Amino acid sequence: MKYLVIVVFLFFQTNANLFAQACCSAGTPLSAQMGMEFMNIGELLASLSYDYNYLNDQFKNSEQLETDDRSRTSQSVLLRFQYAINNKVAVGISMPYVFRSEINNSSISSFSDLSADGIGDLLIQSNLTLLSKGKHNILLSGGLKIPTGSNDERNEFDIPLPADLQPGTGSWDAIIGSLYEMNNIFGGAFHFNASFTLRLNGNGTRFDGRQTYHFGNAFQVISGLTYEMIVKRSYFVPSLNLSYRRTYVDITNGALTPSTGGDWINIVPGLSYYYQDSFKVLLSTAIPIFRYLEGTQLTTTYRFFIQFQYTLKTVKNELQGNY
Amino acid sequence: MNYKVIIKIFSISLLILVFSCRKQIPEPIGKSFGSGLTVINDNFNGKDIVVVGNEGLQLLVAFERRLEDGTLLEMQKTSALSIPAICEDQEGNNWDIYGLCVFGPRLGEKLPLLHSSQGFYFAFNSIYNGVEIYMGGDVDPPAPVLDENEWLIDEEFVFAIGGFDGIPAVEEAHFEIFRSRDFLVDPFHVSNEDRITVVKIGDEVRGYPHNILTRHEIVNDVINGIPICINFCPLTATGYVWERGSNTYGVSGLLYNNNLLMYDRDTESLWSQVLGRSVWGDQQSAEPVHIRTFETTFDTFQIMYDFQAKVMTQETGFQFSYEGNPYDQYNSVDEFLLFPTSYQDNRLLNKERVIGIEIEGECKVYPYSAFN
Repeated sequence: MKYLVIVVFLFFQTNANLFAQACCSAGTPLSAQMGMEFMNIGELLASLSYDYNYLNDQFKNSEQLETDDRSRTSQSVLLRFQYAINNKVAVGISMPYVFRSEINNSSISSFSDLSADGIGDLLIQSNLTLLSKGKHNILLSGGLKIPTGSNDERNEFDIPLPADLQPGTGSWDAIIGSLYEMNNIFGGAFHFNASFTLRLNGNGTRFDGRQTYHFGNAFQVISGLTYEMIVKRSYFVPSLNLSYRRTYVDITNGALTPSTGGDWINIVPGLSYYYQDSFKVLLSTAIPIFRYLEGTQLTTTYRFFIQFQYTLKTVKNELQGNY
Repeated sequence: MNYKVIIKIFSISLLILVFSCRKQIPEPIGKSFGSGLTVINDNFNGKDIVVVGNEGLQLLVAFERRLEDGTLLEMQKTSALSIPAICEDQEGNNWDIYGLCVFGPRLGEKLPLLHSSQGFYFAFNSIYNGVEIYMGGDVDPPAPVLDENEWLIDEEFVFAIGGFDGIPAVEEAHFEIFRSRDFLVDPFHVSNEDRITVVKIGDEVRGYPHNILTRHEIVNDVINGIPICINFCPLTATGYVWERGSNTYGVSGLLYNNNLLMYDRDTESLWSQVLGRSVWGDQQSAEPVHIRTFETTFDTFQIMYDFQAKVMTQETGFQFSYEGNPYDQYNSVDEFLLFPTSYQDNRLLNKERVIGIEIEGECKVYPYSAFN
């Protein structure tokens, strides 16, 4: 049971990371996000998730502008596998497919809106469990994002689309993270978690190396509570997280790119349904409560996320579940 | 003193008054600049031109100086102390900043207009594949710029920063008389150093602040019944004013050599701002009719037009913020260009402010440093 609870709210932790907000773009590729789960030896985790992010709010710093002239949509399908080599170390890979589009509501031209889709950037990562057998659990994670996605998608004029509409970033990025959780607080049914992730982006190049760009590094802290419920023999786990994210300004050809970067604070409520030990469905959304954007930028109006996850135990381990 | 002496004194005074009135420029506008303008008579690509400016005033304009009747004017500094006169010729005519004769035998005549604009050096240099620099020599251009394919320009240097109308043009601009006390307050919020594009059609003068043009890039306006398009590219700092007829222009989200490509909404052809012609679509190779305009700072503008000119306000119909310049760092880092350019050299700094003059497909630039 304890194992179940921990796994459940770690899934929420994963979900919260997926809500990381990008700046004027439709969001950095989903593969930039990490999955941080405590796993036992021989477990193979497979998940398929869908993320829908609609950006129609425009902010100038912290002031919301009353305009509806432009919107962007970013959709991502992410297939992720993670395998626990032993009780301490797990390795994983994430493979995204990304759809992005921009609509100019005020445009009266007959030219189509901008859109691109394709395989995004792969993320390989490794998790190291430092502490996992008691009330306090700690995990470290490190990953490398590989620029497998295209960053040269073109419009109907055969002109390259903007870098922030491309499925891939074209850069090798490093991601590190850490997760802390505390089980069974407030009488046992509540669980606390806190995590941070830091994404350090490399430089991408386009146009045969004649343009160099660097998406701003990003830092995110998430903390919250989950609550375990049993309804008609089924496990439901509602969660409530608070996330703070900072994205630094992009750099193009060595200079700061106007209207990029910012700070976001979101409330992230979610609900998961857990079927037996191995399968779960997770639904979540994000509610912005504070946004500060450099310059004038589009940002998320609403967003939702759904994830299906299956965990296969390939090794019978006496220690499994002994949390 | 008898009455004859009184009549003599009165007559002499009257003559002095009449004589002094004749020496004055009709309808003087504004105040003395207190510093001289530099006048350069030049010849480029077979045309005789005059370039007048002053770096301190951030004022640079250029005109053809051979009139339609074949007369070649030799321009020099004007003896008049007041704007609008900026130069005078050997016939004693005084010409204003729009190329209009404001005093002299050719009163009311106009100097032929040139296709010119202020802007960053790299813009003219890349779009024209090498430019001639005043007092700086010529270059051997690597290849012809234009061809007759689907694109009139090398599409390898066309890049997208957004979709059509992603940067919305202003369709209903509002104006108010600008007074020097209006700096930094509603509805303008501008400082002395902020720049402005000024247009005069008939008797009406209108100013378009660059803090607004930077955000919208195009204003479709009508002055004295003439529909015009004011277009400005913040990446190349170039601004032009075109007649537009019943058409309107929008921002395509495409750049050529980092410079604005507009589209006309009737035919959806693409137009290069600095080239001054359509480069894609039904209107390919067509050229717009240019309107007389100049660009300067608000500091100079308010000296010239305090209480007399209308300036576009921030009531654009959009909830944009017009304070500050999002391109400040871009403007201050010389090597920072957003996209690759087809031609570049280091004869001048990339972002040295010049006036670029195009004649028969070739371009010559005059740096501000020649006018200090």
